[in-house]
Amino acid sequence: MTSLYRIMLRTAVTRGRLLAFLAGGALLDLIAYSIRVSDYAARENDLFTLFALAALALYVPVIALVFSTSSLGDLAQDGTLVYVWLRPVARWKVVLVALAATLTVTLPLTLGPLWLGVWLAGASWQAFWAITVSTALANGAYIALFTGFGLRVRHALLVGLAYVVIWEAAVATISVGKGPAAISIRHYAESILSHLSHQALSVFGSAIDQADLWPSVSVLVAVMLVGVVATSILLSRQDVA
Amino acid sequence: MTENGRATIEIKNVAKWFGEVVALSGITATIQPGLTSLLGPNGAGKSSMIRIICGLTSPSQGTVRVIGQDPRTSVDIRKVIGLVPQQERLPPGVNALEFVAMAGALQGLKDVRSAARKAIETVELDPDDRRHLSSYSKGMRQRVKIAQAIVHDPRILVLDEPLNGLDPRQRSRMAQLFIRLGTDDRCVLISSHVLEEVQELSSTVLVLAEGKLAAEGDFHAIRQLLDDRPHRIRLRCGDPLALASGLMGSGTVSAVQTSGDEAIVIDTSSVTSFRRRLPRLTQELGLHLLEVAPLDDDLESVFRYLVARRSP
Repeated sequence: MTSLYRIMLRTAVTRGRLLAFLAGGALLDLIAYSIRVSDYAARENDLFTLFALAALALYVPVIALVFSTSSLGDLAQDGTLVYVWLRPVARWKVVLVALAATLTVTLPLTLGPLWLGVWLAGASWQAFWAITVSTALANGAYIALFTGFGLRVRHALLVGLAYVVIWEAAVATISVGKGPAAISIRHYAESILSHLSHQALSVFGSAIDQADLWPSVSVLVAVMLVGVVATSILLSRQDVA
Repeated sequence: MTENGRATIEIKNVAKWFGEVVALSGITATIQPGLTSLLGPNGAGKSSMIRIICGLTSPSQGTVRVIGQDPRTSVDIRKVIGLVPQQERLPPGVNALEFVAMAGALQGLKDVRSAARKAIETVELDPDDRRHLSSYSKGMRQRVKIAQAIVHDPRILVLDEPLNGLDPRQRSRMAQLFIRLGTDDRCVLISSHVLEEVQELSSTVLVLAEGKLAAEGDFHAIRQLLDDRPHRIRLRCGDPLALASGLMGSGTVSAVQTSGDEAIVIDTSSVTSFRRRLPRLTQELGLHLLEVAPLDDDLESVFRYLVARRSP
């Protein structure tokens, strides 16, 4: 499986994608640095609002979407999936390899700029830890969700982008943790961020309702498991070109 | 079970449709160990048939059994099958050895590296060539596809247009390889739309046309069938009516119709007798032939004839 992992990794990493997301990360860091130089009293709270709104609602899911929809989806589209599919390998193993290859790219791409942002904003080690855990779990959940999505849905990138922007970013922000937000991944990642950092999050002056810590972790882990199982089933039923 | 069964493919009443489009209809055939060619024009349903045989898609109707098992669901079959797909695309950013080694690793081979090197050498490529596959010519990519299909020494080898893109020398060498692979109780199925390729393989032939099994048998029987079919030929001369009359009297044509001022179109079921009679007849009638043009010698019309012949 190592050779499959290496090939999937090489397929995923293109110069264009890396440059685009590094530019996005640099923008986040610029905002984080401006928080520091502003010498605003509620600096850490501002930092968390920034991460909750920009990073967990947009930056992390968009990166996960781009890389995970292409990991198996591109193989299915361009006809190279046949070289993996017609081998005596359990489908769940193929899915796990695809997830591992995607995480190998998305974790550094998301955590790198976020760690730098925390450092630039002069936030605490607690903040560093909270961002690491919430981002890693959000990454895993989004990737598990979008990998199967890319395999089955035509124009998965566009449809997924609409989902991220409309649901994860707009609806979940407007509902400040209530109602519809409960069925967004971002809500649980935000809750973990808030609990681990001991920071209450607010948006437009309204406090965001948070789920409890362990239920939030459980939901994201459950999304990962369901994603792996569902993608394995989709893969085994896939019509391969 | 898989290890002991004969390497046969049994196709029973298989049909495949995509919405309104019928790709395959009522195919029943048994493919025995040895070399079998699946011959048919582009769009005849060859690739759909191959995808069903390999389990890459389910038939809309009917069943396929490979060594007695359903290829769509059996993991055992995937251990003993090798496929050269038609599409040219190969994974980016890898060289031939890495790609073929990945195939070997996924097949569960122990000495992956040496199996990959051997397979690459078998298709006359250099396993130490570190260039990425994207820089390979079409013929080289085709040979890499063959290498990944044979790396695990499969008992069932399915090749979808494997000679596409190869130059005549490589084509001949690969044909020899397929003939060699078709021995030892191995089942080798090769699709092609080129009659001459199939002739070179001298194999059992299944002819597919318009999604139907149009003919089956050894190559010589199929060739005979093609030669004996009715032919339509256009003849042009100064006095076409005199020629038409003479041909009807000769008994070598079954129908004659005029085509423009100087031409006639004839149907004949005995093209050899017709060709022998025509020069003598024109000499007897004092006519000068301006054109003798077969109208249905392209492969498409040959296949159409075979389908029509089989239809009730």
